Amino acid sequence: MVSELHQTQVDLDGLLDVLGKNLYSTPFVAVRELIQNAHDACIRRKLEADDIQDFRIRISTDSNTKTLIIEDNGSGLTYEEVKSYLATIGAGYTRLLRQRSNTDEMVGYFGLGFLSAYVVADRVEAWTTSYQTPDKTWHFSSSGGKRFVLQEAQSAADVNSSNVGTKVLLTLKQDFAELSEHPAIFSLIQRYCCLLPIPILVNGSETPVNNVLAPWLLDESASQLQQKKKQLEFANIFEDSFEPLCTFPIPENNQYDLKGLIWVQGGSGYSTSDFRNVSIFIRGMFISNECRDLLPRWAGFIGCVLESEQLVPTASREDIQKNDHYFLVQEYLKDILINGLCDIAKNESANWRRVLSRHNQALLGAGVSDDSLFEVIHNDLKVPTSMGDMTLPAYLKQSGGGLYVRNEDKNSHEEILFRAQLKPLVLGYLFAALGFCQKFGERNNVKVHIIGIGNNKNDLFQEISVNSDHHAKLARLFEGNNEKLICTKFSPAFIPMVIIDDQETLLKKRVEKDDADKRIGRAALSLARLHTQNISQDIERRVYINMDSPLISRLIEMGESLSEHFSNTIRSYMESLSHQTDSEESVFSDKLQKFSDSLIALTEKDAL
Amino acid sequence: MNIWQWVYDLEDELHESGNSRLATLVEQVPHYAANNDFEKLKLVYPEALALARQYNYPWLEIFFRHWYLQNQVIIRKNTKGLLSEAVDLLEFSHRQDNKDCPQRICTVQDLAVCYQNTDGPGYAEERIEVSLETLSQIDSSWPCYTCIYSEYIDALIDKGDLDQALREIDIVRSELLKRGVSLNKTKLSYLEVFVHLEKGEYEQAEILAREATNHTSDHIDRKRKFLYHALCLGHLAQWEEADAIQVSFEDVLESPYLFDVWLKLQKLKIKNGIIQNTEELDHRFHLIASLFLKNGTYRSAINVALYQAELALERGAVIVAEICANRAESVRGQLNKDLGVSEKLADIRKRIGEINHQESVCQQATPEEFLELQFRSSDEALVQAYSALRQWPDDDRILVRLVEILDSIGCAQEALELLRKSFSLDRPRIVLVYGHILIDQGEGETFLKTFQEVTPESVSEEVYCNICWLFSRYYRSTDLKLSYEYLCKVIERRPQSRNATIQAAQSEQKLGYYDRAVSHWTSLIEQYPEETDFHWDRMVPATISENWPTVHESARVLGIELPVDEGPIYCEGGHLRLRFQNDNGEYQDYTAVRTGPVTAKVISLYRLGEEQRYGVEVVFDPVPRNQLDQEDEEGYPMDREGYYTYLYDVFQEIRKPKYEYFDLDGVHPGEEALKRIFKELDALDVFVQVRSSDDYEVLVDGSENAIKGLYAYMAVPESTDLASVNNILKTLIAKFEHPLIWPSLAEEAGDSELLKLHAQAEEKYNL
Repeated sequence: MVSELHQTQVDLDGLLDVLGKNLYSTPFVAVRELIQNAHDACIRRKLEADDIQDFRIRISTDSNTKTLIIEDNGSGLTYEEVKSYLATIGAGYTRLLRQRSNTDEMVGYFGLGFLSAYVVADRVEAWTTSYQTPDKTWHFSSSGGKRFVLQEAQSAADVNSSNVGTKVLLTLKQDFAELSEHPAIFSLIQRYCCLLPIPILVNGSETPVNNVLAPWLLDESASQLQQKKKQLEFANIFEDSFEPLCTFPIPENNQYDLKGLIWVQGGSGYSTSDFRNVSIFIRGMFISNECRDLLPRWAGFIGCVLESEQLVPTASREDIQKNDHYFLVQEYLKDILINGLCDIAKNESANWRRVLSRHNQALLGAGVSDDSLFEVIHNDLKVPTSMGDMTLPAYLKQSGGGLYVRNEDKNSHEEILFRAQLKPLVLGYLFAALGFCQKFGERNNVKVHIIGIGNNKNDLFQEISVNSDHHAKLARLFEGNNEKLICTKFSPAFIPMVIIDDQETLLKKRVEKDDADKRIGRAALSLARLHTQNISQDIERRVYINMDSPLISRLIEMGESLSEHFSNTIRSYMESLSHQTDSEESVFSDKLQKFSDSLIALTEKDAL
Repeated sequence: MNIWQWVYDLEDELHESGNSRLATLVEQVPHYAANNDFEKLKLVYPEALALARQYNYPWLEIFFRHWYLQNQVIIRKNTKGLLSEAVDLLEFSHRQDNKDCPQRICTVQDLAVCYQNTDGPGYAEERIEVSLETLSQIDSSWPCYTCIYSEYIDALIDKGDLDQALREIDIVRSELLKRGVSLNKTKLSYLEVFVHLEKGEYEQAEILAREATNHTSDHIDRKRKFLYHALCLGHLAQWEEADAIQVSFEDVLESPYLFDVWLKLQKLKIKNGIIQNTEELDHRFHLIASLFLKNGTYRSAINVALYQAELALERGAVIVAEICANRAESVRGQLNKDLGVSEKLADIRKRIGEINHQESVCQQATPEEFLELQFRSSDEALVQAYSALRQWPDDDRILVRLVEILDSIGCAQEALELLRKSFSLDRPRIVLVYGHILIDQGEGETFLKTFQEVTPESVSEEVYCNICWLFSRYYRSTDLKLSYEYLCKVIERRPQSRNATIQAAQSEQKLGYYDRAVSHWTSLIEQYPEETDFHWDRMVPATISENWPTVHESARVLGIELPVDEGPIYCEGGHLRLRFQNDNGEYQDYTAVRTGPVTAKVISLYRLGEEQRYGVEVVFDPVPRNQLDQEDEEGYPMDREGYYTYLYDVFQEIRKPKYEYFDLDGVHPGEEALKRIFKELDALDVFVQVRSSDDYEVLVDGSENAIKGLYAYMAVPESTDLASVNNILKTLIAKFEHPLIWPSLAEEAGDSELLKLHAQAEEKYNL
């Protein structure tokens, strides 16, 4: 019996620490690497020995002893191979064989796989019997990886029933003891090894954990409905929190050699939540779920599984290199996603209703970001309004053609008008509502009126010409300093007037006020005044008089004294209705006082 | 000075007081703003601002508005329409109540950057003054110190005072060092790189670029660092290394703060022959120039346009050069100071003029030959199209082709301008194209101004029809009636117009003018007898208006067998699904039975509490929303979602009987007894629908044996006396071993005794 103490071919001081912290950030990566080794060993035996075995990978866990065993009936290793490949970092046999045999069946890349075992285990042991020397079984053991013992094993039974193959036993570090728990390892393997062709059996079960067929490998003759069912089952494996709602496959034979499945998640968080879920496989082996940016930023409710041989893993095989191909795939996926959503909208009406009901808010945001998606969803999404959520076509029906948005949750004269007309106002201050309305307006030639911002381009009211005496009287009664009276008509007729401040003029007034330089630095103020000097007008507010109002008609007919009290009553009443916050120029109690005074004056005997 | 402390404190306070939404926004707004995630910022910003105002947090309002402006003016280089906001914010943040808000300092920078964007060199003096004034209010312990200093140094660079800029950078460096902060971890490091590059100190610049890291945002900094480093390497002629550093153009396009350095890198590459002066590159410059223009970043827009013009002249693309020169000219007035722009522009104009003396002549013999040409490049296409237009100035097809070419190379404004110049009310094709482009580009006001005053007498019939067609499109979404009136004007003059007739018929149906719709569909049927789909279309308004002879006629043509040869049609046939739209635009689907070619009656119930439509009769749109193109295991056709029935949109409800809805719960009485219940209630026009499946079981209290349960809905016509229904049920149930209960109906019927019994049964059977 040979028993030798060897030194590994690389000084491992510090390297494992680095690997543990950086190269392999999740413990499952170590298991994945060992399963990958087992898989490649099986392929190697098939290729080199032309042996059509019933290949199996068996996993056993024991949480009491904190051990994890990974066992295969693949090629096994000879004494020399153990020394060359098991103990030499970066010298994986897979790469060599792939080059020699020109096969894509093998999944290993860098020869770092076995090293990962030391990241999670205090002690690593392996028993291996090569198909080339089936009568010799080698036992490799190492604690920490710096040195290892290699000796001939006493019994071939230590390996497996068919003699040839490898068994790796990890005695796990305390921090990674979860890898010896059956449920944890089962679900990890189910998710991450589901595309490997060789059956993986866990803890004595003869039913492979990875008995799921990727939807893109399904028999083409399967009906579309069956395929959908399988796709949903498959997607479900990859979603922890949300059941997939509906799926769409990535078209076959695309130029990016991409296979996969995209799905809409069944649940959602808040509108800005980002639950993008992307799992990437290369040659059947899970590589990463860190590439969420392959999906557009707005797709926070989308999951997908991708398999491609053209995506290149990083050295740790935990991430994908962000090369040109990566960005092309990113673009391509965006198109596929939009086409897929479009297809669901068009052909799966029940599913589309579910998508809308769960992801209305997220889709509002997505629609604002993406033009082509907007085209698909613009008529179906609901926006928040003062009369409940509704789609924009439904809104337009109720509003009579325009899109009226308020950007603040506060009163204004215009808002009173809408409330009186029983017309909805879009609550533009809620998530994405304003952006969505603006885009809808642009695309559909619908004017978006933002109310309450008051400027000289107010287009809610069109000025009409009236009898000049009437105009003069109304101006005398209603037009204050720096105000402009505009005669107009609007419904409902029982609202006599609307007053709208001109924000630009008010800004000019504030900035150009004498005391502004006490608050603002001279240079900064000069810069600000460069702007306000260009605001030429001095009208601070516009008073829109509703010539359809019976109150106004009555006012026009009244004598001077009565009409003055009457106009004061009207104005103070309307101003108190829309009063927001007290300011130097506008105090709520003053308005009410004026209302009360004018009402009393109005009912004085003299006035009557 | 920790200018963030009050933000953290307020965030905690908001969380504690349950206002977690606002607390979340306090985190999200600066995060999205600083990371150039504008797509998300614009979605949450209005909400953040509204909540800050609603809860009366003026400092928070300043905070949100400042971050929004930071994103817009610094990262996205967008000043258009934001100058008012910057001035307003400055004023608001300096009010007495807000004077201690640290972010008031930032608002000065926001305003200064607006002017920097508009015309950096033109406002250099003002910016220097503002920066110095602001710096005098803070010290190096403020994070704002480096921001304001950046603005100051930027202004010095714009003024051309590079040495002073370097001296100031040294002052900042030593100030920061006193606080243990390295300059190369601030945004000033890139300004230092820039100054060294401008001074031709490339080695020094390269070292600094390599070491620069900005602490504010990795995402943003990474790309900026790459580009600056590549620029330095390029200056050192280390092109292999420079090319290894890659930032995609798509990335650049998303990040306007990178435009300037990217442009410098491209210029250097062209100068050194690393890349070629091609149309593709010009297209990229063009995208950037357009964004600068759109954002009101005028000085930069002019610089790019002038550079593009030079490149175009080198390529011999004289028309592109002219377009660029015009573009620069169009915004020259926005600059505060000319600073050599006019001179450069005049030089380019002169060179354009020299080349234009050798104008190419169109080689084609006829306009048709020209229209069939394929071009190798857009430069060539432009030259050829302009030549052709000179040769055949009145051929609208050539003008339209030229407009298309301009549009395809991203010169939409120039295309529109060309149309505007060529527009005349005696050119029908131009009228149509111009009108459509105005509508497409959202230029509604110009559209109205251009066409509103046109009368049928003032133009040819063709032009008038085109204008009416445009107006019909313009008003389609907002004022269908007006849109329809314009269609009528078209049809009046062109009764054979297929598109206008179809559009008119569809509008009439929506407006309730059913007889007119029938008449228009009939006209189409007569013109296109082979298109039988028009018969389906016609049956919709004909059925609503009870025009039975027309319905029968179309049914005969379509081979639909009806139980009667004339008069009203009502025969219950196969099942289908109907899609109703609620007032808020939401959809609800109901199972229905077909009662005629385009009519159906709802026969299903929704969950109680939701809108019910049992018995509603409708006319539906005969084009199904789904296709039964799949098969189940037994070969039955179904759709992709597993439905066996077609789904149709409801066009109009024609009968809406009123029902009240109740539930029936308890132990299943057996199939025979259930049939009896159905029969007896049916006699009162009560419809019962079993909702429970075979799995529904009820447990008798105290027993372990579950018994098969029954849960059903009853739709009772409003005209039916509830007491009668209640009595029938009581009579029937009396014979059952176990009870059924209907408490909501019993309550409505006023049967309080029964309610008590129901309550007992509810408890006993765990219902």
